[in-house]
Parts: sequence; C-alpha cells; structure tokens
Amino acid sequence: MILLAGDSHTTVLKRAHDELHPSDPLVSNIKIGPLGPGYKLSRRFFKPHKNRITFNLPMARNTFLKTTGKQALWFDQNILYGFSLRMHSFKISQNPTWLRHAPYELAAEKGKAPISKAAMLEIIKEDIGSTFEFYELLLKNNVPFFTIEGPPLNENIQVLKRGADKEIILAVDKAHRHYMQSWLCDKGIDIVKAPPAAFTEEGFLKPEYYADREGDVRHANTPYGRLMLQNVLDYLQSHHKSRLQA
Amino acid sequence: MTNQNPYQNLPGEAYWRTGVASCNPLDFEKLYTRKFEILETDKIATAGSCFAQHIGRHMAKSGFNYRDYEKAPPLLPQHLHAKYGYGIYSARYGNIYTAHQLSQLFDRAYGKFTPEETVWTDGERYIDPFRPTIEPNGFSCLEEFKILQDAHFSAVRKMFETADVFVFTLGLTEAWRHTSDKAVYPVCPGTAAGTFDADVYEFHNFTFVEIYQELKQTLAKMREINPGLKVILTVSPVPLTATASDKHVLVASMHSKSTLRTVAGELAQEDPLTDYFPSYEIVASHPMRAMFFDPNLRTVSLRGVDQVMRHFFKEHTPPGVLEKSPAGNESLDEDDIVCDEELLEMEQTL
Repeated sequence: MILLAGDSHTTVLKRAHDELHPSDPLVSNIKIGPLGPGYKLSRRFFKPHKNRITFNLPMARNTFLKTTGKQALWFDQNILYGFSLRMHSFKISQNPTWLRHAPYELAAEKGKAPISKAAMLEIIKEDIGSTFEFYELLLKNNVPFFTIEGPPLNENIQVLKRGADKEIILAVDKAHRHYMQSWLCDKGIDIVKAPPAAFTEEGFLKPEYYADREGDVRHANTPYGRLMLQNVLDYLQSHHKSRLQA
Repeated sequence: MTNQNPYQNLPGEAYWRTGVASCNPLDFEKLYTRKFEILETDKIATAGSCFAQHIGRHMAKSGFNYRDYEKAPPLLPQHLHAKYGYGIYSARYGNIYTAHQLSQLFDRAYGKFTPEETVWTDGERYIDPFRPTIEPNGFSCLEEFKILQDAHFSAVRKMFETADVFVFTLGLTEAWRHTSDKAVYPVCPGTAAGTFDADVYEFHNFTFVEIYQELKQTLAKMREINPGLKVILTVSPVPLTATASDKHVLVASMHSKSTLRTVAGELAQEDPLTDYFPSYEIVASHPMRAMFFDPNLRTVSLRGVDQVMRHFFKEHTPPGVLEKSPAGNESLDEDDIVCDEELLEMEQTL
C-alpha cells in the first residue's frame, strides 16, 4: 500500500485521486489522508516510541486508523509513505516581516532592513524544524517514504496586497525551497517536486490553478491536484513500480 | 554671622548615620534625584557595557518610549534575538565598554573615521572586529558584511539624530586598540574572534583626562546634530573579568570604576542636560555587602538589577506597563482557518 498524507495541500491530491475510475488499481493501492493543518504540524506533532510513532493530532490518528487499521505509524515495510508536510514557504512568505525586512541580497535595492544569510536560515529552520525531526525519525527506523513538494505561492497573498515586494517574497520562497530540498537531498530522501507547468514565469502559481474557494490564497485547485498526482505516479512508476502492481 | 554651620539641619540622607548606617540598605532613600524629566513621548536609546542591557530591557518593558532602531525581523524566533545582537540595545552595536568606542561608533556612522582594519576573516567567514559577536559565525561574504554594516550605521545615525534621551553606561577604562590608527576594539583581538598580534594591537588604559575629553567631545558631536539631547550617564557595577594592567584585578577594577565614576560625575556637574544615575553605588558600594552580586561577585543578580531600576523608576515614573504582543508567527490567521476547512473535507471522504 502507498499512503500519501500531510497538511491541507494533500486535499487536492485526494480530489484528483477520487476522480479515478473505481476499477483503476491505483484507487486500491494508493490511500490519501490528512495529518493536520500546517500550523499545527509546525510544532512537534508526533511522539517516538520503540517500534511506532504516535501522533498528538486526532486527525493524524484517524487517518492512520482508517487507512492502516492502526492509530499510529508502524514500521511496516509493506507500506510506502508519501508525505506533504509543510513542504512550502507559505507561513513565512506571507508574514508581514517582508514589509520592512528583506534577505540581504535584495535589501539595499529595495530599501529594506537586511537579514543575514544565517538569520534567514534560522527563520526557515524554525518553520520546518519539526518536519525534519519527523523525517529523521522515519530514517532512523528505516521507514520507506518520499516527500511531496507544496504548490507555488499565489501572488494574491495578503502581504503582497499590503505592498510587499514580489521579488522579496519570491526570494524568500526560493530560499525556503532550496534549504528544504538541500536538506532532503543530503539525507537521501526523494522529493516529488511541484510541476513546472504550474509556475508563472515569475515563479508564482498560475491563475488557472487558484483554489476555487473565494479568498483562499494558500491552496491550489483540483486541476493542480491532477498535475501533482501525475507527478507522484510518474515517480512511483520509476522508483517503486512493484508497489504499484501489488 | 550665624551660630549655624552648613552641616546643621541638612536632610537625613546627607548624614552617614541617618542616610546609611541606621537604614536597611534595601530601603535607602533619595540615592538619586533626577535632574530632568523623561516625558512619556521622549524617545529613549541605550548603549554601553553589558550592564546597560538590563537598563534597556527594563526601559522597554516599563512603558517608556524606548526605541530599537535596528529591530529583529519578526520571524526570527525570540530566543535567537540576543544571539544575533537584536534587542539588546537600541541598535546592533553590541557592548560599548569605553567612551572612545562610543565616539568611534559615532564617527564611523557618519563616515568621519574609517579604521585601517575593517574586517577579520576566519576561514571563509567575515567577522566585524568592532562587533565580533553580532553574527554567531560571522558573515558569509564581504558583500553581506558590508550591506549589514551599512544598515547598522544607518540605524545608528537615526538613533543619534532622533533620540530624546540617551542612556550610556560606562564600563571600562582598559581597552585594546590598533597600534597605527588607534581604533578601539570592544574585546581583545583573539578572544571572541580575530587573532592576536602584539605588533598590531596594543593595550591602553584610558586616563581620566582622556575619557573626560573624549566623552565631552562625543556629547558635543551628538548635540550638534540633535540639540537638546538629554543624556543619563551610569557606571556599570560589574567588575573587570580580567585586567592587562599588571595590577591585581581587584585594584585595577577599583581604579577603572573610580575613574569612570569621576568622569560621569564631572560631566553631570557641568552640563545641565547630562544626569548621573548611581547604579554603581546602588549595587557595589560597601553598605550593600555584595548582596546584589551573583556568587562569582562579578555579575549582578536579577534582584540587584531590580533594585537599580526601582531607584530609577522612583524618579522617572514609567507611563505604564506594556502588554506583551503575541509573536508574529504564532497567530492564527484566516488562511489557517481555510486550512482547517480543507482538511475536514478530506477527512470526511477518507
């Protein structure tokens, strides 16, 4: 079985998956469920035990119960996990910090207070620290898993409407993705990246993939979910073909 | 002709017996009488040796208009602010132990002095010799170093130009400086950072005359761009960690503090816009029996800091205690609520 789980960005994968014909083997082989909202997953949402990981969030426990029959994550080689856990910069990119500050490379040009490279890294680490801690725990216990990147930023996020500079926001997003990808790469963890077709030339989410819900500038829509699910399937075909046939 | 002499009928605090010997040291009165008022709207800035950190922190919490001209990015976790030199003083200059260091900061911020040695390297890292602890591992490249330094000087200029009250805590007379241009370092090169070279760096113990003249000139320079700037001088009660003066550290400490105390007193006496606040006496004078020091007899305990600030705030009544605002990245915004809704939909269809 393949279980794709994570924050609210997993929803569009689920919607796309729900569109598959019931007879499609992918429907029975792949399960998709939520672990919790990103802001709750930014804190330590799990607890390690000798041979399992339990979750502080009821939603995560429920997903594991419904998909694996257990309320915890067990180290079962028959299950491949795909996690989409805060694999995007939304929380830091949309922060009002960028109205006054900027990564040092852009600060002088944009008339903002510069943030050193080291301080930027601290900000990013704070944002994804618990996620990395979770992944390290999975590695330590030889749990097979891969990761799924979140969608590009929507250029209608509040901070941009309040006058933040697009270039700064994109630089922050880029730094976040770069740090995340470098860390995962160093650890030998596979990443299914966001589809390039979903990015505008500047680097934002293309309008055709905006969420349907009015005012939702965080998530993408089902067509984006289709693209992303296809990326996941392509990755599974090339890296875990036998699991798809199981 | 009168039968009275000037020592008759003085207030209680003027006599040792009634002012000190017969009083509980915790209840000393009138150790400080303000020279001028700090208005609720007055912008307050602080700088100085490590003891000044306490003053700044308490001023910030007190409801006074304490200003931070080089604020930490709101997203930087609070527990890392001090590590990156944010929120300690009114700008990221780190500890300013000597009057010469303050003068140098002013001159450098206004481009009137450029030291021969502007940056140290440590492998591939770049370190600011004049604030070596501001970035825990130094800067990644020269460009980054320069951009952050320019921004710092800009914040310092804004501070000097707009502050209404400047609180400066004198810490040391001893310093290390560059042999050729006499640039003063906050700490001995080779300790917090850099490499010590006896041909390049020299020890200097500033005299009363040198400190008095330098500080007087610095205050004059500050008031040239900011007339009416009120200054409160204090002397740090924290003794020297070590001395390079060939004297016993206790003797060197007493020499240093006495010199600084005299400079501060002299300037406060001759300048109506300069006040002296006796934090040194409140903590380190012998009637206190070292009760305000930690067991190492050097660092000041929280109780000692509270005692100092109690005397300060008795004369400068704070407008009101500020409510602590929640950290910028902790609040639940509308987008978070949207997240919840998205997830609930998915959970229902599992």
